[in-house]
Amino acid sequence: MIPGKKTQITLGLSKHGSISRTVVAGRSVVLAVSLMMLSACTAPVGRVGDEPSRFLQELPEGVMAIAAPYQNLRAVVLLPEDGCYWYEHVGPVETTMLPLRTAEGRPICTATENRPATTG
Amino acid sequence: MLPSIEPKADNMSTRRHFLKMTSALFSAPLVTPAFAASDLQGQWAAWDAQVTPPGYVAATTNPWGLHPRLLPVRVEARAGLTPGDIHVDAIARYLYHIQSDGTAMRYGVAIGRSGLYEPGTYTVGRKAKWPRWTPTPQMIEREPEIYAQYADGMDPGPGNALGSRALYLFLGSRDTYLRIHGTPLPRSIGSRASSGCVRMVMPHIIDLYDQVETGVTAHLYPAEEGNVELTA
Repeated sequence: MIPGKKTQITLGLSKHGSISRTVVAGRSVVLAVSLMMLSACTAPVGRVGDEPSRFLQELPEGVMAIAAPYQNLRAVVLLPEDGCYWYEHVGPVETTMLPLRTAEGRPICTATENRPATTG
Repeated sequence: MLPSIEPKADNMSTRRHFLKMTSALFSAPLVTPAFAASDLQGQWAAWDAQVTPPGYVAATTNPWGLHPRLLPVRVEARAGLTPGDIHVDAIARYLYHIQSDGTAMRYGVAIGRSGLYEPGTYTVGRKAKWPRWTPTPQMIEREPEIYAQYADGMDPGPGNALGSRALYLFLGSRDTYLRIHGTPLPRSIGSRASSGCVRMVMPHIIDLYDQVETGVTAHLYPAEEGNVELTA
């Protein structure tokens, strides 16, 4: 892959539409998810209970597919400030939000939001 | 980064005070080392100024282009943690210094590459300003193209691999050669880049250094699985 060049990769097809993944061979992964399939091809991640959760109730399948497995995918938010997915991390000193990363360590972001600062 | 022979910098101010006292009372020859210590302190101050950006404010100064989450910040800490201790959350790339009021100072760090980072419970057995650095034989053997040229040691200074300050991690009385130290490569903060040590931005560890006492515990928690080297 050529650094800085965008590459379209089709992850999967269904009768409801498709998910396409735009990989920037730089530092973050940007997802473009067709609206048609949001309800059909998502995985439930919300918590059980009556109180509304601040976390995404359903995580796009494309995100599920590329997120590194050590992260808590049941507690994910999409931050409008940077357009990237963050997850709740229960650390030894505090519980805090961390950028959701791919197995290679790249932040996972949406295509329509501002690109994040990626050093760090 | 793993030093071998380095000056006992922590003892310097005490030694300097002693020498000043004795030189005033006794013979002239003792004056010379006192001036040498003063020169050393002056050199350290000059280097501190060199690596600290103008108008530096820990929480906001960021010429290094770090993600804002990696800048120093005070956070609320879990109950029951010992004030003074250090906790390194390797997954988050955060170092916490526990305060006595239930908070912690949090700093962004870089940790060792996969296979080199060694989680565990250590004691800060020693600390030093502007230390000398010598790579270990294992580092030279592993990456001779990088480290062989420093087999005889690297002089202290802003280009030194340990940077402005170093905290030396011990297991009992044994030096583990693991360090928490400054780095001349601040853009590596947030990544897995080092040969096993915990790296910090130099002005950040200058702030931390004065708050850390020798003898406190440093908890290094496990990192994620796999060779995740990039940042977030």
